[in-house]
Amino acid sequence: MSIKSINNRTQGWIKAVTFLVALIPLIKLLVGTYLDDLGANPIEKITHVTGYWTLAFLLITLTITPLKRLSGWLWLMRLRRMLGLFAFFYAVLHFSTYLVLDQFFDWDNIVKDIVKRPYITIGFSAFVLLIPLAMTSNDAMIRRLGGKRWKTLHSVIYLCAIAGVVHFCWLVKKDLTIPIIFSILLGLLLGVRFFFRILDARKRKLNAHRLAQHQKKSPTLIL
Amino acid sequence: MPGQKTSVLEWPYREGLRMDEAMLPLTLLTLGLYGEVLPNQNGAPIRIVTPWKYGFKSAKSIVKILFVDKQPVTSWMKAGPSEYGFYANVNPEVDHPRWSQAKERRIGEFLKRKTLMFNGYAETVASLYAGMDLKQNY
Repeated sequence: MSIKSINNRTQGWIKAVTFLVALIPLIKLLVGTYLDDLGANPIEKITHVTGYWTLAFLLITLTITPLKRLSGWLWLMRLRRMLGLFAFFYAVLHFSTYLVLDQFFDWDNIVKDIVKRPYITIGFSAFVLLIPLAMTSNDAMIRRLGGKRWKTLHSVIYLCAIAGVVHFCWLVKKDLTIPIIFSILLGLLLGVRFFFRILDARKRKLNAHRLAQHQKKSPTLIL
Repeated sequence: MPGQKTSVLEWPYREGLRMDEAMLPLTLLTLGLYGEVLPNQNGAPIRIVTPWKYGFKSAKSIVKILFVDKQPVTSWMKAGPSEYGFYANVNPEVDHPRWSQAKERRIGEFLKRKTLMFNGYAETVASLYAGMDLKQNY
């Protein structure tokens, strides 16, 4: 058994371990809350941590496809849905923290915030756009939509990730270090896709050219 | 102090007050906190406390005080002139360009409460700013 093609049992194990590891940030927050160990402003801390992991999981999700292509590890694809759903899970926690802990259902203020504060406008939009993606992250919905339409819908994740990173850049007081790191990583992940696309287009062109050449040399092949 | 190696702000940290603000009995040059000697993390050995202004006006660990004839440019004014002004008086009516300043959460409380003008010290300090446009002089 090579790392390229591992059996179902091992895949199940990898999935289970990934699931548990992905819960660590939440567990740390829960323990911190229980022990009253989240600093002077626990609600701000919870907001920041859940937001950070939403972005982190979005980026990790976006890493899967290019990593599969570079490494040839097909089993990676079986983690993608779960990682994407974890991004949504932390986004829900992030939004709920804002809604309940930060604003305590002060709808007036929330609407004002969404309309008036650019970083909240863009962050909220990203969250809303994630909802249809999470709802269609199951086999039944892929079948219902058809692979092509499902893929088109799910390319919205690029928009969500960009909006999420901009949201982060716009809200920090001064120190842009971490938002810039996220921006660079996202840039790399989008860049590598662009590169693969050009590569594929070239390959297709070359193949078509070869085929044409071949056909010229042996016209009998055309029937 | 920790964090001074980062280039977030221009160090050393600079803050300023108008002379009438500095002379106010409410402005404290302080050596203690809650009846104890001021701990390092709170700005030992000596810090200034201006309770009607946002926290960054209350500079910690003071090493030098200058009496100058022109309004100085403080560290936060230099870092973000459109967001941080010289006065930085607590003002729920004027938003920070990116967020509201109308409500606050006190340590140990769950719900936010409405922030009071000049952090509740309007009676003492409002007269210092009579006639000034507080939207301009944020």
